[in-house]
Amino acid sequence: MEQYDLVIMGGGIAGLTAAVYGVRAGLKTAVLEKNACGGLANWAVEIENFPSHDKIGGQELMIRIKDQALKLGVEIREIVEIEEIHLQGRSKEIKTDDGVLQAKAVIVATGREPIPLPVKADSDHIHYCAICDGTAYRGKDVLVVGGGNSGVCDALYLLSQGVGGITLIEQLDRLFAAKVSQDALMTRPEVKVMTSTEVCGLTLDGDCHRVTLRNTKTLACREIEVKGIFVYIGHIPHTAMFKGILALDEQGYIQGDENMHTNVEGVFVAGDVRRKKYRQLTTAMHDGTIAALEALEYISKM
Amino acid sequence: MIEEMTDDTFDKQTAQGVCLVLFYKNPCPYCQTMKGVAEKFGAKAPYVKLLQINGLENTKMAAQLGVERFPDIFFYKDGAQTTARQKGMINYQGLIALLQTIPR
Repeated sequence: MEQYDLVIMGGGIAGLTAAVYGVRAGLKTAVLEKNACGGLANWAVEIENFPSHDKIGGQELMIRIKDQALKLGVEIREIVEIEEIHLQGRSKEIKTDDGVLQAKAVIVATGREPIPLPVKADSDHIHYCAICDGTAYRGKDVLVVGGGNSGVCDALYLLSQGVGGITLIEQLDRLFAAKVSQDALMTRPEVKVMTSTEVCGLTLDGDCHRVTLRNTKTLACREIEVKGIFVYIGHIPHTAMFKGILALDEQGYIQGDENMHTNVEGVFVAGDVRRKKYRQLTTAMHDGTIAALEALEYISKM
Repeated sequence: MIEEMTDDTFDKQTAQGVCLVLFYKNPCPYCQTMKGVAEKFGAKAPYVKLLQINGLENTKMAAQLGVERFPDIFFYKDGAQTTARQKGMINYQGLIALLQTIPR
């Protein structure tokens, strides 16, 4: 069993920010991450609202933050599966497939994952990452589901990768992406935008996807044919393992106070997994900072 | 440790033994994760050589093998492509299962 002052579950921007603050405060700090560090920021092609950079790739930003944490002495364990957690009491235990960690304090920063397309289909061509999968659709038509920042920005990225044509649909009656992104998309002749529209059916015919689209106001349906589908319809929190342990809201987000305290002593929450109104890189950093400082104060009083 | 390959070194580096070949691109968050998964798999199966190749910079092999999306994982044995292949993400347990389809 390995002993730490602070174990942070999740290596996205909230978790890594907490790690930087924790290790600089003299806490022996470990970050546990299921995938590669970076969280949802990794999926952002270009970030233009992070103070300090006019624009920066999401993955590039997160690699810089991870490198900083490593240089400071944070122990980062990636590709780690968490098998059991025991968060009550003065000594917290986290069992992973790489061993057991014991900590005086834990910060939960496990983030969120994309909501899947709500139509069942046995297809390899339904994607949640344009950066990874966009190159397969050069010269081909695709459907983008979701008119928020992710959908609109990734549609622009797909166009930069040479995708043939894009049909972008949004369930509500308007797009929600930043105006500058919407304006950029609307100028493109290869793009057709349909609001008040949702996917209600999907059949496969070889590599062709016949997608049935339904107007949510008129209920009229139409069919389009695409080679691939990119889905950006929101996220769900990674909190299944905390059910019955931490207080969750009706959507599964962890309830934390303004100082990131959960209902369990010595357990703090930070980032997108926390119940809150705004989820941005900067608000995640805010959470991570406070969670680490509160964890430090908690540990110093033990 | 994953070794880097190019179009020019591909045949030589896959010539002997069982090799995991990971086609990746930059940036690509799934690819970043997959590199970590491959390392973890390699610790469980140390006789497998771990190799990676940038599929956008090495278009000859990517085209030859029909690589369209990333990551794309192949297994080679003694210079020959096997039927074990994974398009997209897979965990290390899945790689072990794929490896078990290849005669040692």
